[in-house]
Amino acid sequence: MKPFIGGVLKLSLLAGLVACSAGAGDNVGATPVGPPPPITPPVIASLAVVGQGEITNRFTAEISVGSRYAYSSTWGTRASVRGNAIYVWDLDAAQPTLVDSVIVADAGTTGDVQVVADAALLVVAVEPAPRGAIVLYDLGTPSRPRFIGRYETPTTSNGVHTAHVARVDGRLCAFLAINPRGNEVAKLVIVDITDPRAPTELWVRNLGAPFIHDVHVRDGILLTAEWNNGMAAYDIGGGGRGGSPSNPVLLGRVQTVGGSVHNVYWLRDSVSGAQYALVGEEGPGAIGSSSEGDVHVVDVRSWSAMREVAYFRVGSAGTHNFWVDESAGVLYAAYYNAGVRAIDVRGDLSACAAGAKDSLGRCDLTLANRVLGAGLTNTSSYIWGVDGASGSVLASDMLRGVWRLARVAR
Amino acid sequence: MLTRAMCALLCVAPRLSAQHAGHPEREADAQRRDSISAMGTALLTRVTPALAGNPRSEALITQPMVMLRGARRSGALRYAAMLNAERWTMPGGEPVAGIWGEGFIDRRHPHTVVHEVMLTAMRQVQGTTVSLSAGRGIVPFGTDDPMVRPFTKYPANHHHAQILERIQLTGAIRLSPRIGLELSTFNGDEPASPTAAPRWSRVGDSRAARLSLWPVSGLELQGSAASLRSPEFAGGEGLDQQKWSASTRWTPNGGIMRYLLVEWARTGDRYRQRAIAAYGTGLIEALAASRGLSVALRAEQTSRHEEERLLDLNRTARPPTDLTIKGITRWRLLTGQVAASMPAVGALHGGVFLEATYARSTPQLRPVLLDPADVIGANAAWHLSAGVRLGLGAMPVRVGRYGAAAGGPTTDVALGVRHR
Repeated sequence: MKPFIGGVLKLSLLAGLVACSAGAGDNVGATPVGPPPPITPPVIASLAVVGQGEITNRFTAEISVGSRYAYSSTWGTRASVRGNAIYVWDLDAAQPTLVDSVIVADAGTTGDVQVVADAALLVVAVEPAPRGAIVLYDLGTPSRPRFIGRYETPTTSNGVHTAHVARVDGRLCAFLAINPRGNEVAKLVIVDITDPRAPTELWVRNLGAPFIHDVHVRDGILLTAEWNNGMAAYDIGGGGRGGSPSNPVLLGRVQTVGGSVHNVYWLRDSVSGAQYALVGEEGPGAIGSSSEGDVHVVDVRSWSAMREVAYFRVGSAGTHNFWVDESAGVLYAAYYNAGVRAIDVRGDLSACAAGAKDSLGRCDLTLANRVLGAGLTNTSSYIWGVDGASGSVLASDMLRGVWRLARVAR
Repeated sequence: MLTRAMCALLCVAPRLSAQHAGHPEREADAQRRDSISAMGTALLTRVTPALAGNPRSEALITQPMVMLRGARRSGALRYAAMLNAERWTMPGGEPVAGIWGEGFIDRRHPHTVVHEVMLTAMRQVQGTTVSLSAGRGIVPFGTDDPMVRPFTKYPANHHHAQILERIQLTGAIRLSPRIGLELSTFNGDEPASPTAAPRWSRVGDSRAARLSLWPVSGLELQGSAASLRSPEFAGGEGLDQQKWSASTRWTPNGGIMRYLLVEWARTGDRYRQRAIAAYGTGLIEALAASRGLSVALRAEQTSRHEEERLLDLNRTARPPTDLTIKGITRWRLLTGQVAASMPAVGALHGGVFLEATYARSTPQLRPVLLDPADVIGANAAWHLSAGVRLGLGAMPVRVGRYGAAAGGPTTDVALGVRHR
């Protein structure tokens, strides 16, 4: 037995050495590596903070602004609290005031929220699988959203990442970006919610490689952000090709540099008549601390010959959702760990000095002196989205809630 | 092309029956006999805390497997197959501290039903043994699969240290009895489920190489590297991985000290050829045994990424819903096991064991978005297990080394349930 006991003692000694070795082995731990070399834009002005509504028990996601009230959604799990809430903010004063909240059953993330003003509706996208859905609320009393119903089918069960609502040919349609799961690929589902108590599915199509995260609808044209498949344009009633929400007809597709097409906004400049799709690229990152991805500007005067003409980059940061003040010609882009950026998007964005063009002929909007301002760059923020409020911009901060910023002066 | 390559090798393969005459019997030699064997472990585990500060006890059968090994043409053609029934015995996974993978977190996922089906052709060229293996199996990267190591609970670093269940074409050359080199091409995607068919279109998009040295009897050194295309997205659109591994494995010939493994591995995430993040692991485990009793200890430090969890807090979305992570956690784990062999009854053999793991987690990124302690209820947890390991027939003592890559002198030592 002695040799055995001796062996056990030796083993114990070895275990001690092992523990010391592991304890000293921090260099075998994680080593996050940053994105490519930064290009620091020359910030011209700051977007002044007007007010803040703090939320720190949940991570904040999207923000959508109505006439007086704003609604922020929630994401993921924060210290064991699920992202299953919608917060209601009174914007009457400069400081957003929390006046109500609703809890969405069986939700882990309410990542997208949209006010539909002309229908007094609030539409909420619900994740994760297997309880993906949209939930509809009546905004007859805007400060007190009232539950109407939940649209949950086998088609939505993998999780609704975003729900974009638009009126098309008199019908109120919700465009649902559905997550992939297992061997099921991502898809876009179009639902008629004209009667919010009885939504009906109009169209389902596998789209995105590997995701579809967002769409934009304007004047009967559907723009889809299909990740590595680029951005596509479909006629759903305004393209003259016989398309409808029940039968979208593909008009064209474009690959932006870098792929990872996450979101899109169709800009129509009322002054110059220029038409661009502003495309958000979402690269990899660590949520809360790092991100990457540019804003790409695509000339969409011809759907069949779309081409990227310009881009905007913030070093060591990536864009997420944005809002455009078309009357002023200003893009407000959420930039995760780099706050909010205001970019001049008036006029011909493809025109710039030779020195402002990259090797692909795209204008670098920073070098083209189109940066108007930046906000929330010195705070511990991680900005998800922005939306316009009267004379100001609301920004949703995943870590700290809702910020109200002054718009840039032109 | 694969068939032609196998054929070419076979058609000119000389008889290999006397190739290693004079050496102790090795796994490679033992593989020449047709054999069928089975194993499984009935396990009771109590985790304190498991979720939200609450303890949880579970009884399940882990690692239920049937294995086939054998050869034809005097060893020139060899086969290895392994069927795994975890899909039925533990569909919700097994509680293992710090582990992740294939949509499970803090629980080990069930392995694929067809865990391994490999065919190997061997030949000798001017005194050098070469082999070509094809099928679904373990990629020549890293250390032995934990199923043939002393502990029942897998280490947390399973997905840093091994690459399993891939369709592959693997060539091996034994440059001398003490030097072996393996090169492999395979599909990078992880299995989508225990019964999911592999993505045949992705076969060949990933590569691995392993150099093994056996400088003295019982000592094995290996260094390996692998480049994986989009393991988490079957369609190929996800982050790529660059993996590295180095280890020393010692199985002394005699004495009560039976086994020592020192392992280091690193997994780097890459996006369009750019490094994004890297995760490391260091592990040491050892086994001492005498008169049917054994004591084993393992110390491990492993870092992993965190993802948003589904409504089931031990599951994550597969594929993920974007390319981001929610944090990085460093796990430090200390595991001990005492075990005793049971008398064999015919071909049935086995043992009983008690196993305990103490695990501590520490978030590595600031701000902390997902601290496992918020899910589990504490940043430290105990996993206590008791169980019975049973085996039927002569089981292989090592897995994942095919043909000319099989182990060196006295490295093929049974470490868990009794092997051949």
